[in-house]
Amino acid sequence: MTTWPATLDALLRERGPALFGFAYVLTGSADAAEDLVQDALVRTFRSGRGSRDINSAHAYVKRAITSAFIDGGRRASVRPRRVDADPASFDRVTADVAQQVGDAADLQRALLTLPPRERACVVLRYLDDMPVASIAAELGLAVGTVKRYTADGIARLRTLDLDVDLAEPHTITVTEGRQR
Amino acid sequence: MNTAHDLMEQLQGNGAHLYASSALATDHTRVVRTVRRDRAVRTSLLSVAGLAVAGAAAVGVANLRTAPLVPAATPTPPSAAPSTIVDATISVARQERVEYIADDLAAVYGVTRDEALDALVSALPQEAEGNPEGWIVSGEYTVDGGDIQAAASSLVSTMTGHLEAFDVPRDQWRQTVVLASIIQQEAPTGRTDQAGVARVLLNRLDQGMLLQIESPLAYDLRADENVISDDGWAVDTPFNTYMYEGLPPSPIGTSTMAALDAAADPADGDWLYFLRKEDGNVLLFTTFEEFQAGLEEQGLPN
Repeated sequence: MTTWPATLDALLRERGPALFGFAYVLTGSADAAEDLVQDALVRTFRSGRGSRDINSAHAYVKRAITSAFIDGGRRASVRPRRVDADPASFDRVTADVAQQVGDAADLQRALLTLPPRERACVVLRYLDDMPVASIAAELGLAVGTVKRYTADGIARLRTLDLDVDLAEPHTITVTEGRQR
Repeated sequence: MNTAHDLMEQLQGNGAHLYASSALATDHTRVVRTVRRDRAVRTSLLSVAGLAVAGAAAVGVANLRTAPLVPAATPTPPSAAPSTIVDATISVARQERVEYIADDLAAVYGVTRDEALDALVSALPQEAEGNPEGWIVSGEYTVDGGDIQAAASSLVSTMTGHLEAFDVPRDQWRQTVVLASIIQQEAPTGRTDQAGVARVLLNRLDQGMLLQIESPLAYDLRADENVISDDGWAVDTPFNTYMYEGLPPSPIGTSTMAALDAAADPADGDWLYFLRKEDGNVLLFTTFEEFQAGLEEQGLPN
């Protein structure tokens, strides 16, 4: 079933920016985001999972980005740090733009202080408005674990005194069996 | 005060803008190459295992017949032919449709897809009945000389070489190739699983049961490239094995050598049903009741 090079091509053309942006929120650096997306693409297409259609490929790659990010976090300590991962440089670039951008930069700097698992949980929770159960499924973790990571992450963000509304997104829990 | 969601969306937007200046935006050949290499490594590992079973003599036969195309797993001897026209690698993925192989071939030799298909057709043995689909074993092939016809012949002769090596009588070549292409899709990995699925399919054919498998229909409808609506699956085509008895009229894509080996040498058993677990492993069942119980156990609808 391989038209995978065609799917890959279309995926990068149409969804490249979105996937890259997601990886960028997680890593806070363009270089690290690029490595992450590349790693995720290889993981996805190597196993043939990406070759069905662009939507499922998108979903798989996005999931692979999160898991590659978490895996990468385990190895990060032995890797040399990238200079531009330093949030200060991001701040310099954007400091003189609008107030909003400043808040985003603050949040990004704050996110970068979270350990990878907490960061992934917090990003999925806020950015994608994902319910805890979905995050658990996405990351292959237990629901309770995700709750703890999310709560710890948010608690830490709160201590940083950001000018950000950290109210959790309101998600309705759909009980199993009533889904269809 | 902005919400965390809005700010993160902003960050995502900033990142999305940076995509255009990343290397990935203009050139993803590194991804393609890595994926191809990883897939080929898996393929050649399977090939080596299969060949070991077939015996050293068979290796000799297979290799002799594949010159000047040599699977990447075999060390290529120092080029003895200075008249090299092209130097390229043709990578044949598993479950690949023949037209995409023809595209690769066409790109190497600078011809059209149709001309490449013609070259493949004329390289086919009589048993293929003029349809090159499925008659090429997946793997990496190194082109180190000759014209497109020579390359096409070598691609095809890897398959015929293996069929001979596995002692498949010529009148069963076609069935074996069709069967292998289905096994490849129904049980992509695992020699035992593949041999088991081969037996299930043969048992069903022997008993005049419908095969009732999805992959031939998916192939015919190009479900790997299009989204098929639910009623789109109820089409009247000879590839619809829920409707027509027997094997589909042609192979449904390339197979690995392991799948070919399984088709040529199926497991022994009286199974009539199989089911693929989520982890890819296959369970085999003799009776419909066992099969139903198996579905239930795996939490699948029955």
